[in-house]
Amino acid sequence: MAPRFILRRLLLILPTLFGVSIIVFVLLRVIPGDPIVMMIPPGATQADIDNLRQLYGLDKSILDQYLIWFGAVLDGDFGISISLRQDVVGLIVSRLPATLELALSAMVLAVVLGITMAIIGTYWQNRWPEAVIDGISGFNQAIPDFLWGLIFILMLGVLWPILPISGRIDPRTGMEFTTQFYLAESLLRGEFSILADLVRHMLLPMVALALPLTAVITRTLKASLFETMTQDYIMLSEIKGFSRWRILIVEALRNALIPTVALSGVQFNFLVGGTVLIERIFSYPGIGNMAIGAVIDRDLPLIQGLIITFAIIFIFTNLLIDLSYRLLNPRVANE
Amino acid sequence: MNSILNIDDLHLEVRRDHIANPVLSGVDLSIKIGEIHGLVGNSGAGKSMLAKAILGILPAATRISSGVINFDGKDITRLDSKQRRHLASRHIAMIPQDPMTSLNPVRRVGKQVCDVLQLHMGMDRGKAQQETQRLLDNVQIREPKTVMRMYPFELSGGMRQRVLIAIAFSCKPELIIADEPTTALDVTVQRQILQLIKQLQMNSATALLFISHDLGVVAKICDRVSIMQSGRIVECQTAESLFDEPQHAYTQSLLETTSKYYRFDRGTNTHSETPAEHQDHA
Repeated sequence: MAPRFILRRLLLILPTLFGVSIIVFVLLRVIPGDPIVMMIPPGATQADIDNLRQLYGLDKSILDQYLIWFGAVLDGDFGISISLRQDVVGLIVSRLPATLELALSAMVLAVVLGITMAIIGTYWQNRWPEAVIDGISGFNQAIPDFLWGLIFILMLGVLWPILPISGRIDPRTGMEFTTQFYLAESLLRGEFSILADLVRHMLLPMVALALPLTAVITRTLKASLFETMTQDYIMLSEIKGFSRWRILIVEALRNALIPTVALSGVQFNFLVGGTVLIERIFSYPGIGNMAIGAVIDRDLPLIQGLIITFAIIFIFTNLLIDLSYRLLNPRVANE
Repeated sequence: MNSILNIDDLHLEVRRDHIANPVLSGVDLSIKIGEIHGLVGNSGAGKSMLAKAILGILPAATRISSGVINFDGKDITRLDSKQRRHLASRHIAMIPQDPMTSLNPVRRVGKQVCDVLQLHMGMDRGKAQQETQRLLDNVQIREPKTVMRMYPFELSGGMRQRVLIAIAFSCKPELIIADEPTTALDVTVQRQILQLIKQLQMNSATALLFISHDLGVVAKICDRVSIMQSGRIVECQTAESLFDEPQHAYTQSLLETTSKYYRFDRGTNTHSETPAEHQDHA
């Protein structure tokens, strides 16, 4: 499977990240907001402020600051968080798995739900199931993820409290994890009660993130399936005597997925971006939640590290989408 | 000789804005076992609609208002899609007009032939693959094993039409409907494909309904010809007598316009290919 294509894309990551780092670095220093002001206690003298500024290197020019920062980054050192006073890389590494598990679960849920609904809507075209599915996905598309989050908290956390609405795991479970991938680890170690607790905590933010993407996948795939079902080769399959289900799943679905993957690819990135607000709303300990804290505290090193992390996630998501596009389409698979 | 297909006073209408427009108004047609029956007419005469009615793939807005299509003694107009699948689809096959759009672009060619064999002939995968190889060899595809692993986009139009012909003949159907099977191909390939269809048909007991607007092509391969005009069959003759003494005024005018472009040399000419013509391998 096209190793040269993958290699080329991997090499392109470096200049992309370099560009991102410059933009972020300059933007953060041009926009208003001074990290020192956030740190100092009331009644600090001008000398204290100057000392602090010097300590963090904020008295130098932006170019000098960038060169210092970039030189350290090449050694894998993203600096020390101003607000949390810890190593930025360590902070991100400890929080990233939570976000990855949340975002990946939401993506899988959205893909499964979206494909299922599109197939049902196409199979019962012009009958009531299609109308129901159009209604649901229209509704879904109109409501953004964070609003779903708030609705869920009110409905299932307050009015009818059946699910936890904050955190990632019940602190009383007391399981010692060796990695930060709690979901994967508890699954692999067979700790199913812990797994159930993790899923209960993740359920609401996951569904909130997944619903808008589900709507997009349903609508694009359904439109694409409709068009595919009018193709000559589908008609010929009907003549050959294949059942409608078989034609839909075996003949039409893969063809219809090709444009759908291309169209809904961007939406995966929206989902990753959506984790920032959703994690905040559900007090979920991922990098999105941490990013909001970092912005509030004007924690420049942490913000820089987080944005580079998000950029890497976006790049890999796009790479995966392009790869799946090539897997589906034999015309480009061998190029 | 007995008929395999008997169409009796078939009326078909398309509904648009609550008005029913007749497409077929009283078609009578009978196809004998093992014959090649030409169906000729201008575009819009209703040839393709008739084919779709026989194949059971009429568009949603279309309705058979009266008449019967008797296939092998059973009226197939009254079947729902499930009954049709069991009774008719194995026995009526189709060679489509456009080979470029008639194969599934994301599935390997061999798989698409195997599927039909597994569905209708009760073969397991290994046996179906062997049979596919034999079928592709029969339609003069060189290196069938390699071609089986290819995707449609790797094949030329003529090659794809050969694959589709192999699929049509694969389950030994009683009737094959060929809806302008050479129109989308270039002239040299057209001749080879016609010759191939004729040859395969002769080696089987299959009847063939050959739809065309091209009397020259029909003259070459058909036993009998029906002429269609505005939703009716206006004349049905053996190919010889049709060209020698056309009865209907419309047939005469068709012949006149056609003969300006074609010289009819009927008979054995389908076998006199020039050596310059070679197989259309990509």
